[in-house]
Amino acid sequence: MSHSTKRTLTIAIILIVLATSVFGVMVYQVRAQGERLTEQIAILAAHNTQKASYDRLEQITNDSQADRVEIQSYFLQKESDSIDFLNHVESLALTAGVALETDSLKDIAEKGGTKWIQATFSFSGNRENVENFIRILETLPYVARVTNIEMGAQSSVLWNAVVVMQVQVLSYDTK
Amino acid sequence: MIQNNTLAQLARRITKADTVLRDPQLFHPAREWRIGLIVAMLIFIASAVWSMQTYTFFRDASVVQEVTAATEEVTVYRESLVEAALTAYEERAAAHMLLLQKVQVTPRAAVATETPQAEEQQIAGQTEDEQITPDNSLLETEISSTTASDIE
Repeated sequence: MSHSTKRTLTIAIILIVLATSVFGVMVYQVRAQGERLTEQIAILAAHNTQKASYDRLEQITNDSQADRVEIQSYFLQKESDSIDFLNHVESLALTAGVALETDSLKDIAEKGGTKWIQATFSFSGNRENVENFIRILETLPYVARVTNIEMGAQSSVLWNAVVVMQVQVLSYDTK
Repeated sequence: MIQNNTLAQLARRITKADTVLRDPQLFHPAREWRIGLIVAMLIFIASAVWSMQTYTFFRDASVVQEVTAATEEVTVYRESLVEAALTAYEERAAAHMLLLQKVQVTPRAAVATETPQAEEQQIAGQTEDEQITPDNSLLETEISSTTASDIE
């Protein structure tokens, strides 16, 4: 093997090693950048999903604002609002022409976590007014239920009734 | 006739044949150059195919929204249920207002003018402290069971 052949062979080997190294680095970089891009695409997809979910929820919130406010008005916002509820019932009693007394007021918690305010009213008046006031209590625009009614005559013109009713306090599902 | 020398020469040629450089073991620059070119072309083509595949893969990669557990737990707004509740309670409020108007319009004096005898007759038809079942016609609607959790 001549000297020039050895030199050419050495140069060829060096060039091949160099080219192979450059090619390997290039392949490594392409694969690494590709994996990074894939991860970022996954992160972006998750972010877009969350954003779409949030946007949908926000749209529902905005669209249903009026309905939700109206629905909320049928509930007692908090337990202390029962005072306003009692005042409202007393004003209705005046309108209906009956003498009203609030016998008791207490909280009731159901198994599902629903809270109710139970009020016991006793009122008296003439028969028509007492009956009308019972109907008024039954149709109160609240999430309410009348659980018991006792009605009787105290005299020829005076009737008495005891009504137990429950009004639901606003609560949210925490699930 | 074959002589001994001839046989000896033939045997020597056969036994020493491996020590002789044959044609394939010699350098042929043109042949090596062609082999080199073919190998380089193969490497180039393989690289091009791989690059094309990689480019196509990442070009077609798109941000696809995946249905994850988080999206499955998205709160559902039951609009029809809310509308039904609103309708029911609006009807209930209307009935309430109607009753109030009736109570306000009804002259209480007229009620008071009922004769005691008539009242007593009415009383006689009923027992003292009678139990009256609540009118649950309005209460037993499906809507009355609507809770705030259904809204939010």
